[in-house]
Amino acid sequence: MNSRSSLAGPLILIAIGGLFLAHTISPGFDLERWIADYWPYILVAWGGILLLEIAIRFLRGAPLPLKPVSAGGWLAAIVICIAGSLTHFAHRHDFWWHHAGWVEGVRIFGQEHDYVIAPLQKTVGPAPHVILESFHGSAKVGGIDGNTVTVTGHKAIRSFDAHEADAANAATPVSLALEGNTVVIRCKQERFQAHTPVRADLEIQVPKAASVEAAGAQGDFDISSLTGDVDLKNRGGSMHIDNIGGGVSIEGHHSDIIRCSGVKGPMTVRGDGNDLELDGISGPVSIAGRYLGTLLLHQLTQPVEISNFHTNFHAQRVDGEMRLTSGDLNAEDLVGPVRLATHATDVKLNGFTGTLDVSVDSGDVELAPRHLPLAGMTVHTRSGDIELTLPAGASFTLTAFAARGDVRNEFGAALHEHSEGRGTRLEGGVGGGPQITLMTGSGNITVRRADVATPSGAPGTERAVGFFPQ
Amino acid sequence: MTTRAALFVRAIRDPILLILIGVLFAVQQAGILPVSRTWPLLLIVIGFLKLIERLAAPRPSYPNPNWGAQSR
Amino acid sequence: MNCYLHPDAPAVAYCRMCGRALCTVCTRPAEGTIFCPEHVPLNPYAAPVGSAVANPVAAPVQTSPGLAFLLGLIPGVGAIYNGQYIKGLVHAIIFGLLISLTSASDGSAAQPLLGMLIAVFYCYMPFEAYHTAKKRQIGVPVDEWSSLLSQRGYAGRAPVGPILLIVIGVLFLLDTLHLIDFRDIARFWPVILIVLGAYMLYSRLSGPTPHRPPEPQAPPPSRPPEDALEARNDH
Repeated sequence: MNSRSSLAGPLILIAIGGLFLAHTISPGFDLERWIADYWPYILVAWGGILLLEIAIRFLRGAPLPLKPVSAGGWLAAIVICIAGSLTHFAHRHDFWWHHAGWVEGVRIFGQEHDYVIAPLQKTVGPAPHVILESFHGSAKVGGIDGNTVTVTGHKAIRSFDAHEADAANAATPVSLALEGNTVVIRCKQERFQAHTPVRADLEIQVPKAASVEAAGAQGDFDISSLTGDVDLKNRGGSMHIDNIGGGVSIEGHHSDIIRCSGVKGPMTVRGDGNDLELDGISGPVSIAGRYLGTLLLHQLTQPVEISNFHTNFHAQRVDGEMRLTSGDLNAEDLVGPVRLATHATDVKLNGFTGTLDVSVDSGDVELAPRHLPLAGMTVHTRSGDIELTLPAGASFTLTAFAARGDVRNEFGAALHEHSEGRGTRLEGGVGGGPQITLMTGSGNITVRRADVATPSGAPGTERAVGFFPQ
Repeated sequence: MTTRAALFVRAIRDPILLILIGVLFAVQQAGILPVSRTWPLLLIVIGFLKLIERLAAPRPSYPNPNWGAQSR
Repeated sequence: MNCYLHPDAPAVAYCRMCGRALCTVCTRPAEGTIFCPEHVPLNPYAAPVGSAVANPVAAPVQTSPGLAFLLGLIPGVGAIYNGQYIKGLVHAIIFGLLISLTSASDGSAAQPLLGMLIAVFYCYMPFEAYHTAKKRQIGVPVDEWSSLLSQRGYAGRAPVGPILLIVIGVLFLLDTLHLIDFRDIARFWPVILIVLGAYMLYSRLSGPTPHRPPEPQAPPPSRPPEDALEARNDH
């Protein structure tokens, strides 16, 4: 009675075989993404089957195994965990594995045949609406002078023999149709995705004043130099948008990296993905989605709003740079009013102006406004340290309360501390300026002056390992 | 409780741990909580199962026949 | 001292119940300790996981205790040499944890204590590998979790191990879920030392209480066995 006689092994082997078979039969079934998302269920299934077997043996009175999972079994489980976690990271944009062709290695059957798409061209008005219908592949759209739309590119078709590939190529022509002021580019890949995956990589040139609406999957989109609007939907690829005079609306799912720069109109970003970078946007920005990687905002001259299930952020302008990862928010030169409500994030704001309202469930908050005059600030954290460095000559009225922790006054005589219950309160002010309120449920508060050198080092921001008090 | 029940609890410890590890990683994949925050559940479940096992059939301890003997 | 059944075979262990000397053929391992063939408990639950129950005496294995000692200087590898893979992993994890805790407690009073723990554990690993290799060389069966510390049963007393595991797990969970801050609780780490000391004090003052009275036997040997390979800690 040991792991050898369990049914789990063979059953899981059959299931894995079935998965790969499903992928071979219908390559539209995105196997790598499926493995990357659902691999932990191998372990759950394995444990579940073993559990069932042991329960049955128990009820039947048969002998119970002493070691249902052998040492080799645990080793296999550890390998699965490591490999599974790696597939999660392998989908990040710049992971070297991606470039090493592992992604293609999964589709080991069949060969890839390359076909050039005969150039298509149509004359259009100066500001057409260009629609790129949903397809598998990448597209590069550029705005040029003139009034023609040109489509070039090539197709990659994977099949077992050249005849099938030729047939698939013939059956999926790229078409360019003009309907009034609307230009529609179609790849007609749907019918053939079943057994010969067709991938089209297009290069499209449109008049500068065009507006573009595109939808794609598994490919990278690069749209630049337009004065119209852009509406882009992509699954599992990256998006680069640059120099757009109109508004931009993006919806990505499992996207790699989304990078937008030089957008003059309003921006809306929805969906989920890894990294998101916005640089030089002159319109209001609204981001709603889960970005597991890094969210980077740089020079946004209009209000920006971020809302997802653990963070809500609003600022009037981002003059410097703001970087938000899961667990850390670092921003330079935000212009308020700034509102931030988040769960577990360490917040570091340097050089902000305007009013500030920060509410953190658990995380440290470090504030260093640099410009005078100061505006009102309210900082609440349920668990975490608060550190405020005030510039010289600042005028303010301060109330700080640490319910279970210390308050360190490194500012000077203008502030007075006294204990209140189990906590400590710090109060005072200079010049009767705007109200600054700092509250923490559990943690320390430090208030210091920017020109006073402090001997202590920065408070530890490694929450996970900082078990012991200083 | 019988020793057979205790043997059962010990036998299902491995599968339950496998399932729990799978669930923790699945929760991480779904973006809810990473494993680095949920791993103590493993300790709790191991301790809990050991506890039940111990309660089901406590192991007797044996006296050392040499306690109290003269040492040289 | 020679085996009570085989007068010309040297003793390698002593029965936990009656104290008689046993040679390699006569040892009957059970419940983490050794018995003579008369007293070995027949309870099937008594067999420790991984021990050779169907094969009570292990064949002597060609090991090199010296090599085991050297390999034991690398955390975990000593146990791997002795075929105790999971124990090797646990050793490596404990060592890694100690190091990361020591560096995380920078500036705190706990850091020197953790540093000492690292030194102690680091010395423990090669010695433990050495002794386990020696046992296997002579033919004393070792199970996966053999150690230099003795294994004691806990009948009648609370199951300390599992409860400790649950408490630690809950504490860590509350911390990683940011419901409590471990730093607040960790201030009280010296309490652990006090509790440990009090527990040891209590257990030594109240004396060992046998759970089952030993059966009437020939009087136990009058001198304590000298080179018993089985761990003893009643010093």
